[in-house]
Amino acid sequence: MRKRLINGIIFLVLIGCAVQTSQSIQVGIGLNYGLRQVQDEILKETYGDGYVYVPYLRLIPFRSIGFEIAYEGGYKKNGTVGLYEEDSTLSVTGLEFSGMLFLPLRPLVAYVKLGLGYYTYKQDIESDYTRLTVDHSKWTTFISGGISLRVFDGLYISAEVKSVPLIVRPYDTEVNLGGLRFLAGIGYSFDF
Amino acid sequence: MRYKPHTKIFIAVTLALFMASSVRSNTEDKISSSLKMMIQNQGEQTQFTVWIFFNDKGPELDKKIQTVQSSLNPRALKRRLRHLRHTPLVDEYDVPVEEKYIQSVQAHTIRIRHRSRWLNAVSAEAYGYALQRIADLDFVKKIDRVRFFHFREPDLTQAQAIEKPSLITEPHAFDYGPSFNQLNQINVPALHDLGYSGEGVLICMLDTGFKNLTHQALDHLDIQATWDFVNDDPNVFDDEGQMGVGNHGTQTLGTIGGYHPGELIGPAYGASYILGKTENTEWERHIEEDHWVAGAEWADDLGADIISSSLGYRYEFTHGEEGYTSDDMDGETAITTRGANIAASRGILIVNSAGNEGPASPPDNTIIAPSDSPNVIAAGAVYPGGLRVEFSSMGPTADGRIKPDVMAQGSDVYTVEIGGSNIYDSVAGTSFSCPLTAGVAALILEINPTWTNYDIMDAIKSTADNSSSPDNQYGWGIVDAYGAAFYGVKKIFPPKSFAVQRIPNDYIFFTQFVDRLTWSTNPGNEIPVASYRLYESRSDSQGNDFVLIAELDGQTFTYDRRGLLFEEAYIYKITSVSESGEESAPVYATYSQ
Repeated sequence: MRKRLINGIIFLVLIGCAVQTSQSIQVGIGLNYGLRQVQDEILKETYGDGYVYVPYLRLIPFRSIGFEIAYEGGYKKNGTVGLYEEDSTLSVTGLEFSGMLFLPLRPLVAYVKLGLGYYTYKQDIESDYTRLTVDHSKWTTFISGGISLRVFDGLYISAEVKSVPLIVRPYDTEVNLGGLRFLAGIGYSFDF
Repeated sequence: MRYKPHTKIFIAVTLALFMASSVRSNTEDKISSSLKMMIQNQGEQTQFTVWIFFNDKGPELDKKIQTVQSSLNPRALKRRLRHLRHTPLVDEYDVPVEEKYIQSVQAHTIRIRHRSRWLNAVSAEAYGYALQRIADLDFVKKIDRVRFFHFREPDLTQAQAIEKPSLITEPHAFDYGPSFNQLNQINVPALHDLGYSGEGVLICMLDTGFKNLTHQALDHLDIQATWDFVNDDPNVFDDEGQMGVGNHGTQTLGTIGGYHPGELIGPAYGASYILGKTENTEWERHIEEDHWVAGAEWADDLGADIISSSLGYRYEFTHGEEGYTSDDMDGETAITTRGANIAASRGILIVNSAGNEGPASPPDNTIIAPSDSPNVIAAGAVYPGGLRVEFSSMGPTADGRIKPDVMAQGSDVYTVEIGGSNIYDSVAGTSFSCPLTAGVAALILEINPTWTNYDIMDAIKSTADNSSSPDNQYGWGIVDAYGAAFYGVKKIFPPKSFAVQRIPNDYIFFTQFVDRLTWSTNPGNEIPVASYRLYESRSDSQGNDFVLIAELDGQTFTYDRRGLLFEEAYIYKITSVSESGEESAPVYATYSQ
């Protein structure tokens, strides 16, 4: 999977190089916020969907190619688990690295991202009887696509859909932590 | 000292001849004198059924004991915990016969009939000429014949006219119909009235075979296993092609476990049963003691609490060989007696019919094996009015012990008949005193689940109606089930039932397990239960390190032992505790997958 991702990023870079016209690097910073869906039925029933915020830093060295580093946080939900319906909390955070390909569709700019994320999930179970913690991390790929619209000078707004397939097996049970994110955000870009 | 050369040769040859002859005579000594005589009389080309005993259980005995210990049936484990308490739960007797020995012997036999881990022997059919070759094998200790016996029906011509019992009209929970007297005489209805029926007790019936189990008084029975030791298959039906068309086993089963109100109720109608057909079912019964031992070992394997055996081994069937004599009835000689002694040492309570061989003049006796064992309750027969039936066998044993042990009705006993699903019959014999007594033992064990087989024997004998002056006609007298069940017991009892259920506790990313313990109050308690104490011990410690895990109030009947991994297994025990702090004996439960 990781090899395919690297190949994908190289492919994007090559495409970008092919259409390069600019010499300067464009830098973008922004914040997305939106709904994080939970795919697994049991998780959905226990903790449900939540909201995430995603601050990012984007470097666009070529006209159609960019790179992004982002942090996904905010998903922290309470629920009850087990025979005794004990209180528990589940949180999932991620550090994401991706390559981006931009496609101008004036006045919009469409983009796709292919990335690799390092996601940390933590389940705390606490009751009068027990205190148990699951705290593990996993690398996985993700893909997203969106559009942005420049509204004023370097200021732009964007909407994005991201899919993160995150299947984990910390012990003997496999759990699907993946799901879609529907994000909207604001950003500012400038030449560097 | 110096010898001339020819003297040296003479000494060497003499020594060699002496050693060869001694080796030969040693191996010949391995064959019992009675078997030798049979071979001499019938010829070496004749087929004999023999016991082949081995010296040991082969190498790595400790490892084998460990293996047996780890694979012990949970029911058997519970029984042994109750009985053996602090002594090792498994010993050399539990280790199977060494397979290599069996294979070596098998080459010289026609077939191996049974393997007995208790006797460390196999029973086999072999030609006379092959027996010497078997005796020559180093690991063979002894070869003896398997005795064939004649199972006698009671001689009813000796019996007097049936006395009319004095019927007690006190109302009871059930309408016992014609079976009322046989239970009332031994005070069983009083326990039925309290709700006891033998539930939770596993009884092994060793008999001649069982059929018509769809009879209206039998179709409720919880029959957990069957095995035909004669034909080596699970079909225990008495039938054509199955060695006979008798009804003995069916009728003893009906006597102990029958349930059809208005007609027949057995003392232990709520117990669970395993049925072992250990004997031929022809009318002229041809019974063989190796089947009985195999049946008793099977009962141990399956965790049976009680063996009810309406069979006995004393007078030989054919060949004119002498059977066991009065002198052999010493509690340790007859093969079935030896088997019964080992079974009792594993915690199994054995009730056997005393025999239908009639009176004897001391020091002779007419007791049949294994009833001569001190570890077996020998049940003799009385009329419905309480007088001893003439055919009922008498002691003392060869070593001077009183036999029979107790008495129960053995004349005009009402039970099922094999001819139809609603047909009943009146039968006679100590064969029926036996299941009545065994049924009482099941009730006592249900009420007192912590009692050992010896506790139950003691209670039954001590409360029987002749216990103040036991003799060789009546033993300790007619059984009193109610008196025995509450004999010398504490005023507080452990819970009546105690069970474990393993439940997964799913935490999404991982699963833990919960052992849900449930129990019920014991209606026999004479004082309130203030609390229940729960203890646990890792199962691999075989119950040697119990720790208290909870003390719960007297109104709580469930407890979850949480946080278990799948592979973790525990033995649990529970006690009842009174306000004054008196703690009952424990009962045990263990989870089995």
